[in-house]
Amino acid sequence: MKLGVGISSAAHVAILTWGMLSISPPAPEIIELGSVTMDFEASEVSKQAEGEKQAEIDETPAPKPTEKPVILPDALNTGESQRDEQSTEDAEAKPNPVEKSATAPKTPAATSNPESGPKPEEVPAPATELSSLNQPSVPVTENEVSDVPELSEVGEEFAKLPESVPVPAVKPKLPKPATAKTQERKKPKDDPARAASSAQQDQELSNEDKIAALLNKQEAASSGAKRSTEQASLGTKSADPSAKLSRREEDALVEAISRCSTGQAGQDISEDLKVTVEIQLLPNGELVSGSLAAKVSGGTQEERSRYVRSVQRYVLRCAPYDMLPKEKYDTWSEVNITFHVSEMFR
Amino acid sequence: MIEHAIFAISTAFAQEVEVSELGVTTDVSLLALFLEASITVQLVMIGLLLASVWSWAIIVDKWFLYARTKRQLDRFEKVFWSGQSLEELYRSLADRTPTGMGALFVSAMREWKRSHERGARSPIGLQTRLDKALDVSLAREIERLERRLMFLATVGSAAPFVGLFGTVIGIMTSFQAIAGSKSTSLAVVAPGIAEALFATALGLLAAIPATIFYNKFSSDVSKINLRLEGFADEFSAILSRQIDEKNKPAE
Repeated sequence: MKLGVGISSAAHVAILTWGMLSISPPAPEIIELGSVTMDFEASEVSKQAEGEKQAEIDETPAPKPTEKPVILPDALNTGESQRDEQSTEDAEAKPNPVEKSATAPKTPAATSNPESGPKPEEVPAPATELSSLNQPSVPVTENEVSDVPELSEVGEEFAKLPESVPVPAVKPKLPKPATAKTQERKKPKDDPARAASSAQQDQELSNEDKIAALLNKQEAASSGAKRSTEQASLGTKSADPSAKLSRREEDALVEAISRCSTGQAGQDISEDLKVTVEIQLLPNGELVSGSLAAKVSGGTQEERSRYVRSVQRYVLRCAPYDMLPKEKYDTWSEVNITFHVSEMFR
Repeated sequence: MIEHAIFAISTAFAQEVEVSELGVTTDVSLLALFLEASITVQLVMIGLLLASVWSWAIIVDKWFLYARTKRQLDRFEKVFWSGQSLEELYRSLADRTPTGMGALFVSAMREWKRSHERGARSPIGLQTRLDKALDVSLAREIERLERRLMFLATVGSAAPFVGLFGTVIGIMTSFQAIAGSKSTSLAVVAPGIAEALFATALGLLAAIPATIFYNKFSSDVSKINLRLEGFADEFSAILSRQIDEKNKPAE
């Protein structure tokens, strides 16, 4: 029995020591890759922050705003029941006062309803004729506030003279300033008129712009400009200058990854071997599962297959990258990390 | 890029931090797996290792024992059927303590001689005593051959469960560690599961050879048992014939 015990224990000791030496090598194989150094591509992040033309990279933010404005004009053309009807009516109504004089009293009546009801009733046609005779073009552009009371007084005085009405076509232009007493109201009247004329000329001004022009008449032109350049609005979403990772934060990320790439020198690795890992991160710094796409360049086929896995393992191993600032999550939600595998041995 | 020296320092520091704070090990060697395990899993591993050592000791011992026993059986049968005088054979074997068929032969011959020296009168009684002596000797031989064989059977059936127990305990503690660190990263999960699986590996390592060799040895024992029983019957027949021949002239 002693023989059996001796042989057995000796064999076990031998097998265990062999196991210590041979089964542990899987770890050294990984460690050999620890000679990896890496470049954190700050440019990628900053490009993502800048936004505009690289909107394709920002997968989540970019597509949504581009799709929505496309949908809106289509829907307006086909004609939704609520807003489209109003806007088309307005669009049709606006050209009328410019061309025809008969529509002139309509616009003052429509605009003056909220402010002063009686004045347009008194003014209707004759007062404008006389006022136009007396003050043809001056009140339209300047000194409206001072002119308005005069016009109203004149309209009251000459209210009895509607009998002689020679030419109503040209003169109704004057009642417009008469109804809009303040500067703010007069300028918008001019602006929608211009907008309507430009719309007729271009034949393609969106109904939203017309609605916006009615609602906010001062900025009608500027709102149109915003609509015309849609990409600019895309850029503003991600182009927050404060969202860039600082050099310290980048170094912290590099440091965190270099922790996991422990290794020893002495491996002959092709100098041009680069492994780029694209990782997606959750706000808490965890990796999005399955987001370890890797690109390899340079090196032999064996080296590629060998080092890609280990680099991915490194990135996985030090996974919670919670040292990154959460308020800048947009910048590091997707990060490309390039490992220069043979950098150390140059 | 980081300079090499700083890189090395930072990695060394980082490893310490990782081990102490997160309990994450980058070392996957067998010794590290054993040392990192909890005390229960360590006890399971040690027990399984000892069971493996002991069962292999039994396997080696029995292997040589059965080979030796078979050789002895062959040799004894050759000598026994060679026509040699039983008295001479008994005299040559009685001095040393024989095993196998020799033990059966010596015990039966001893009983035979004692009965004759004291003048046994009943041949039936003598025959019964000889059979009894052969049976006892046979049982003693079989017991000697089968000794410690049950340990192999026990290890073969129980070691996987013991290893599984260690694995379950290890995975439990591993998951508790995961819950504590609030990290589902594979780097946190993997070492605990590796050390837990190591217990099952040890259990299987002990159980597989134990089962295989238990089956082989039990069949060997049954073969030897058959041969011994056959010899005992034959020898008993020879002795009963001698008894009859001796009793005839007396009558």
